[in-house]
Amino acid sequence: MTVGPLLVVSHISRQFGGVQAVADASLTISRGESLGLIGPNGAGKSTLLGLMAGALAPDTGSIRFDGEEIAGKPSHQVGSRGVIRTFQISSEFPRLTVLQNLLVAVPGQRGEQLIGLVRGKRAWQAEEERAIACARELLARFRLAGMENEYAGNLSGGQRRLLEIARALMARPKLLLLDEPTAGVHPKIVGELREQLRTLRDEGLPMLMVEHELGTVEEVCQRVVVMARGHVIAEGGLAEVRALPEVKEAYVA
Amino acid sequence: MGSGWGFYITLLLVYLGVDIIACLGLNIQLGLAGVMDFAFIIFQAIGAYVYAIFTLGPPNAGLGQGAGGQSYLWGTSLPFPLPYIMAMVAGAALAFFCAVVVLPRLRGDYEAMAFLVISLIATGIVTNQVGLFNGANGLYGIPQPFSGALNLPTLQYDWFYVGLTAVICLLVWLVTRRITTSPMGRLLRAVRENEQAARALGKDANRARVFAFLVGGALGGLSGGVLVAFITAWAPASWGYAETFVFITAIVVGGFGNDLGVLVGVLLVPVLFGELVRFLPSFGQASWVEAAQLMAYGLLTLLFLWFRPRGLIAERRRRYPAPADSLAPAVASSAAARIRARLGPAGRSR
Repeated sequence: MTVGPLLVVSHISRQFGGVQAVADASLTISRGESLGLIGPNGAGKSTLLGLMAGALAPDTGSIRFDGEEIAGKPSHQVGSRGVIRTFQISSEFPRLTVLQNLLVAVPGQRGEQLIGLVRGKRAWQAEEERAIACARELLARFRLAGMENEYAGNLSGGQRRLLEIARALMARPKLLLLDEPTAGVHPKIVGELREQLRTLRDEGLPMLMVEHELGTVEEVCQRVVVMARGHVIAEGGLAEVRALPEVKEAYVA
Repeated sequence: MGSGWGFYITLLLVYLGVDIIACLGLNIQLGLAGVMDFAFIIFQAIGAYVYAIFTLGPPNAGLGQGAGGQSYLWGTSLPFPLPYIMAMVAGAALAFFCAVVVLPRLRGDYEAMAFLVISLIATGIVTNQVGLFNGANGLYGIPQPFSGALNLPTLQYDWFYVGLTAVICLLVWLVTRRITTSPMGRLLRAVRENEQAARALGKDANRARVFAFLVGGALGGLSGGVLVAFITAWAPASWGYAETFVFITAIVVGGFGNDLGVLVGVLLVPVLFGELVRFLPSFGQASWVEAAQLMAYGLLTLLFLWFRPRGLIAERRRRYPAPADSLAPAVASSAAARIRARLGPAGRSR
């Protein structure tokens, strides 16, 4: 609707007890951009992602998504605006099948509303069939097609990562927030994950990725923001940022 | 077969129906949405009381005393099926009150503790506020639906009531299935499995949990109405907090989150098992028998949680039919082929 940047985080801070996890951090994500958020352990990357996703409320500062203030809004309201996150620890629904995991994510289902329940199956069958077809396409794309009836809890770690991204796509994201998408994944599947993320980037899906694996960041992200001790200390291309003395110092310290 | 057996069997069948209604409701809360409702019996209790005051008629003005010298807050006499509907509404209203207090803040063990405490508080209030529902003596002489109009001998009326219970059970089954097989049922399971993830997908998990809780409360209230209209008396001793665990045992044995499992669980646990433990040898003090029954339920729950945690009939995997037209799989497999071609054999997942 608006022409400005997709997401503007300005001067956001959050404390836990006495620890200043995020301090006066600002960043911007443009439309169609894929941004990497890197930094040493304890830099506040995941906290910042949580703030953007509504999992945490900031102490001060503002987050505007598509021109609308979302800071402090509960996560389901942020999610229903199209800001969809994944988790550092895989968060599939273990006792739902792979296909059901995807179907849950479809936004605004009539069968989830009282009126849909009162009217019964005829109110939601058509949209359900469309969702199933769409989910099967995504599963094929993420090479999970043969497992649609498997319990998600029975998948391998790498497959769960793929499932989680597929599920996020099912929610029709306008911005994807990925919290360490390749953490704890076998190197073979890391390659596949990178490939999938690159494809999404090329399709123009905006995303922000918190990642320790700089190879993935290099391959997928057009720009990076570096955090250390809660502050944003640098931003730019990965290569130029890595050359900066303050970034080197932050990683050593 | 003497008429004694007739009374026994009709009583057992009505109990079966009541427990089916209650356990289907509790299963929506506990099995589907994962709400640790250890206070479920209070919904049955309020349903029974509300059914009673909507049939007994007004208490005598001034004295606050109605039929048979019972004292209760207020009363009227409504025709069938309104008292049952009021019982449902009361169950849902009480559930709403509990939901506001407990659901947004507490999860897991803490949620269970809060509900257990609510159950104890409810018993304390109703027992000691005698003006509310006649205190520990409870309400009695509660009118039965159509008993005046039909004017049947007792046993025949009991069989009529078994039929009425069966019809109500069928309706409850249809409503329950409509919820559990819908996208709403799927959302509730997702919230049970990982609430944070469901919220991150834009789903209002709290609204879903409250919805499930209200439906469960309404069914609990209905079960109370159906029960009290048959046994015609209701007092705090009928709904101690421990009664909730009988329902939970039924659901654990039958199968969490599975409607059919709940039916099997109800048939096996409160009805069959419950009747068997009645024949436990009575020794020691009189109170021993009742205590032994509860212990037997507890033991049964533990055994199942250890050895068969998903119950006799585990929650079933929902399989979706393959697409009718061959277009969808063709699109899907071509997309897969494109990716596979690009990745080459090295990129294959295991």
